Amino acid sequence: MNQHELFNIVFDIDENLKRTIGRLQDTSLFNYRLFKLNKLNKIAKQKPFENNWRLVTVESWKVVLDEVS
Amino acid sequence: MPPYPPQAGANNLQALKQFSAFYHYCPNTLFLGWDWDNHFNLHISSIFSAASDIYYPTHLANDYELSNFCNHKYHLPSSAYQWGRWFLSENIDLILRRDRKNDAFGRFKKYGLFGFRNAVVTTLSSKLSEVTLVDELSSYHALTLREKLEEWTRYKCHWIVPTLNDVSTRIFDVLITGGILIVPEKFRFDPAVRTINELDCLFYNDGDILNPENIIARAIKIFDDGGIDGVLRRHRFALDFHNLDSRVKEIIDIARGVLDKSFS
Repeated sequence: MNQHELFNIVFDIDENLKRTIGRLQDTSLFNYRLFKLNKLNKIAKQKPFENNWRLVTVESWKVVLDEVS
Repeated sequence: MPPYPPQAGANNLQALKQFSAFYHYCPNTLFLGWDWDNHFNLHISSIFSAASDIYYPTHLANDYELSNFCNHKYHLPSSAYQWGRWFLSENIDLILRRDRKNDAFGRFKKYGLFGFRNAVVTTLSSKLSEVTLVDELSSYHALTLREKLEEWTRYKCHWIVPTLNDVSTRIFDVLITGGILIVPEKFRFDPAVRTINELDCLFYNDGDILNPENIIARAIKIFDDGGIDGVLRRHRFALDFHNLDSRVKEIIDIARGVLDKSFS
């Protein structure tokens, strides 16, 4: 298998994923990560762990987690 | 030939849109996403990582793609997750049972995506009657917690066939129920598998898939030689280090550390 064939297989995953990979250098992705950082910064100032924020999780884990809360 | 067809069907895509919308609808909620399927489901995992403030992939896979959606990403292995501590202590009679079968168990759902995994299970099932490929697992999900525990403790050893290179919840469910593990040789140096006592885990190679009798006999002998002490050692180890509550505690500890150190 030559390099060209190998790359064809590796990158021929599907159109959605190719578009995703293509966006990696896009400023919109940078801005999205900046949005997430700003969100975390605001949450950090509210100190959720010191202020007893409620933990919400899937119902099926309740039986395991309730015992150790 | 694409290695994987698109994984997110119409229903999943709708759910992903809703999940993403939910994330953006809750700016004052901290989303901690522990992803059990990042080894193969890139569509869902991409959205999941994008819609998590802190993202915890279970498997060491697809790091490049998923990192691009995250500021904070930390690998966290899978765990046992089916039973709580009190339930297990109240039903310890099943874990300590003396009527376990001298056989290996492994019931695997048939996934069209994973032809190699399906072929391995089919090959094994020609020699091992309790290692099987099934179309769906709804009958298992309908069992009570004790019935599920009864099924897991019915055998002395369990054969693990991963879909790809994933260290699945099944490994830790085997340990917490006291069984001996038979896992692929390629797992020998996996960080999570390396924490397991070498007495409790055998590694199979391709030859063992074709002729599993020898490794099964070794696993049964290890189980019998270890006796109740061995069962309790495996159970206690998994309960202390590889159960759901341990992982959730770690998720919260990491999140607390990120908020304290990165944003102070």
